[in-house]
Amino acid sequence: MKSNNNQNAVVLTAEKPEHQTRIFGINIQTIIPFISYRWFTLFGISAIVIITGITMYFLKGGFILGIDFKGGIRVDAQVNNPSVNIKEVRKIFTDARIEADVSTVGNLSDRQFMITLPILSSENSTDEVQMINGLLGKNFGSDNILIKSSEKVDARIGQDFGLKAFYLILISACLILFYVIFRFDFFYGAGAIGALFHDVLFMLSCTLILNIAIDLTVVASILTIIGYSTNDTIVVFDRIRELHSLNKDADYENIIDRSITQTLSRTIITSMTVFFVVLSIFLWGGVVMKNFALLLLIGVIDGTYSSIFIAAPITYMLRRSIDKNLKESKANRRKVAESLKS
Amino acid sequence: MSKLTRFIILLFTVVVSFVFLAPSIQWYFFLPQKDKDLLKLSQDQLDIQTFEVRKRATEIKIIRKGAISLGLDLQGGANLTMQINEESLTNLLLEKYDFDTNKLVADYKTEYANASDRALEVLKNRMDQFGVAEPLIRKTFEGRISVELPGLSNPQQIMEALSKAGRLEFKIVDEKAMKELEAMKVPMVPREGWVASRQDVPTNFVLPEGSEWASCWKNDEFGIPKLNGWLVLFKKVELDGSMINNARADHDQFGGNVINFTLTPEGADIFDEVTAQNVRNRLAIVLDDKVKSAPVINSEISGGSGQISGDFTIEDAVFLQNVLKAGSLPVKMDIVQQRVIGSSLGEDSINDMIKGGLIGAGFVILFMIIYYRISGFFSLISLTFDMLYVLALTASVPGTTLTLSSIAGIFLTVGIAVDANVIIYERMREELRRSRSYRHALENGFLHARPTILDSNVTTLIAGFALYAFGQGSIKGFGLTLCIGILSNIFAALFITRLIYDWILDTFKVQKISV
Repeated sequence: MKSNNNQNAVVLTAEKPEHQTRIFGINIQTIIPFISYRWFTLFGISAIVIITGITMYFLKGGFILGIDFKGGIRVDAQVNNPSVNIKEVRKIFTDARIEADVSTVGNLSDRQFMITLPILSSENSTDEVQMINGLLGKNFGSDNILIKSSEKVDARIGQDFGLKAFYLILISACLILFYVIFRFDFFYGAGAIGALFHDVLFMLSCTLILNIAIDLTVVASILTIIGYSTNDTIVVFDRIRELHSLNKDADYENIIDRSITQTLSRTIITSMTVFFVVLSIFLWGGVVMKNFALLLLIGVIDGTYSSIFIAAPITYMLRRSIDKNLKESKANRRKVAESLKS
Repeated sequence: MSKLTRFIILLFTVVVSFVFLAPSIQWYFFLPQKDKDLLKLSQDQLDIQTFEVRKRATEIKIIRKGAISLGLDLQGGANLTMQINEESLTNLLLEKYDFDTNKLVADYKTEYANASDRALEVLKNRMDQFGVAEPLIRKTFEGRISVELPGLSNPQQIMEALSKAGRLEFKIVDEKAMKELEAMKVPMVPREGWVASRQDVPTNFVLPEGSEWASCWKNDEFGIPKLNGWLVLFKKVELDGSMINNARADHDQFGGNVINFTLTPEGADIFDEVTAQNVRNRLAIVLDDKVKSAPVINSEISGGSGQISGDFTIEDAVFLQNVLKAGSLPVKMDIVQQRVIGSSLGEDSINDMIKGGLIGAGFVILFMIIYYRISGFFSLISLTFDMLYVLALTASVPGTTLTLSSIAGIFLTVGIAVDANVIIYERMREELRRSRSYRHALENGFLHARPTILDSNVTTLIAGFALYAFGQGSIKGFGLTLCIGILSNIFAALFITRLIYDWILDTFKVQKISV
């Protein structure tokens, strides 16, 4: 069967060398057989990351939730004392019998720490921020402490945030699915939605692997990537649809391979430009947006990857197994090809 | 469309953009700090300033309203989310329903929603006490109320003031003093009959023993209380809010808006006595020391129920109903979320973000020019317009704040913006390989790129819209800038890039432009 497909490709290309593609000045004469590689990509690279993610999920007993979702207190404090280090800061809290999580923010030389702890009392009047300020001040000199930002989230509101974020992703996924079905057809819709869920799973896995707490910024980055990745997918789909309607009888696998190859230079260039921007926000954009930018960096690569290696193969496999016309036309073409051979 | 029409359209969009941006440019680049500080004055303080200062303050306020405001993460400040204390509400309702738990469970949802509406009025009423230039109070999801206090770094001191229940009192207006003021030709607010400004009160007016000045407040079109005038009230509290049983906005037989209220048995007796002694006098309804309304007592009111009528709009009536109920059901508020951002962090973040974003944008433009040569330069031009539209549209949506994530969104659209150009150029290159004529390739390139650009951007638009419509706080802002970015980006790529091509090709009589 494989050889048959290749022959079809040759028959088609003999008409006009139109699918010759140039990427960065390099002529690409052949069509890259993306679809043939689908098992490798579908169950290779993606599966490794996602299975690692799922394993981590069970090992860690769920996602790492930020205080936005589980409630708690976060204080971002700068300690202008040259002798300070993270171990000492941690010790202060263990000595005070407070279950606090301390991490450094930005460069070590900034001596900036992020302290996260659960809410100690449900009373409004307890001011944990002042308490932390006091504890740090007692050990490092109260003039040296600068509370850069603080946040306190009640568990009640956290749960609502979590649910809302979940619905947000679900609603946008449904809307995108409807749009793709409306503009294309069901098979493309399934491909797009498959890629979309792959993106969400992939990014959630990355939060587990990289130990990033899920907060509202993470949700925002996932949604941005959903939009970006579908955008990428649509460009490929658009080309598949165009080529498919021009050559109704052509082999579908070949059409997809041709479409991806033809749009490949655009895909790479766009990913690169978005990657430039996100990378410089990651490197120079300040500490606050670091996690956001990091997830976007992963997402840009994953989004590009998924539109080529996930969306198109799913569309292909679904159509091949369900769409009768496609099978028939394929059978017809095989007959023609065989008759030509003989 | 002819080139001229298209050029005029382009010019028009640029002019409109600058109109939207004008207040922001004025506010951030030209206004001296002294003028900006005028906004920090509370209404009472402003009332004792000279006319020029007050006029200037109004002008500044209009500029401020039109300017893009910076989110708390950029200028520093406190953000509090408040929620009704359910325990205190349940206790109050149990009493109200005579411990009928079934009825309480059935009505709890509506009662909760009503209580949070009332709490919102109470909080708005306290807005000017926070000493913050632009406090922002609004409802968020599930009946919660979000309070934003820019520039405030220690919310602890005002948390007490925020979470306490509203205090409703009824006081009698000192009509003798008011008559005296009228005789002194002090300008009065028409219809309401209260002193317009305390500045106009002559120095020889002596406040009677046992009386006090009280400020009167009316809601503006946004439902925000605004200082409207002053009344002299007797200090004695005749009734307090706990004596109100219920209040309801209603229509009278002439179709006018009225508020019907009932009193507790204890309240009914006191009210009967007070109204009997004060017929033709005004009874001031005072919430947290602010007069909300001062209706005239037409006759003795016995039987524990009364009606307030007047020239009310339906909003006024519902507002007064909420004020009366706030007194009868004084629920406490809890602070369920509190976020404080120091102003130094905000300043650092905005500088870092702009630095990072500009470096990224620079890379993108450099790449485009190297890779597509003159066409890459065209995309730089259309990107410039794109940015102008993004900023102008952001400024044009009222209530939009620029947060760290929305600036990130703007820079991200730079990356995505060139995508539309990339799609066009790549398509043109393909067409060029196929056909000999440059014009033909240009025509086909744009023709085939258009549906691709539209389809692919609509999906991002959907994600952005979901973020805007269902998201909260900074996510909302990010969603909005993403949407705005996409829309202006489609326009810039398809309309402006094409116009540049046509203009260059025709004017300079060149055969082709490198792509």
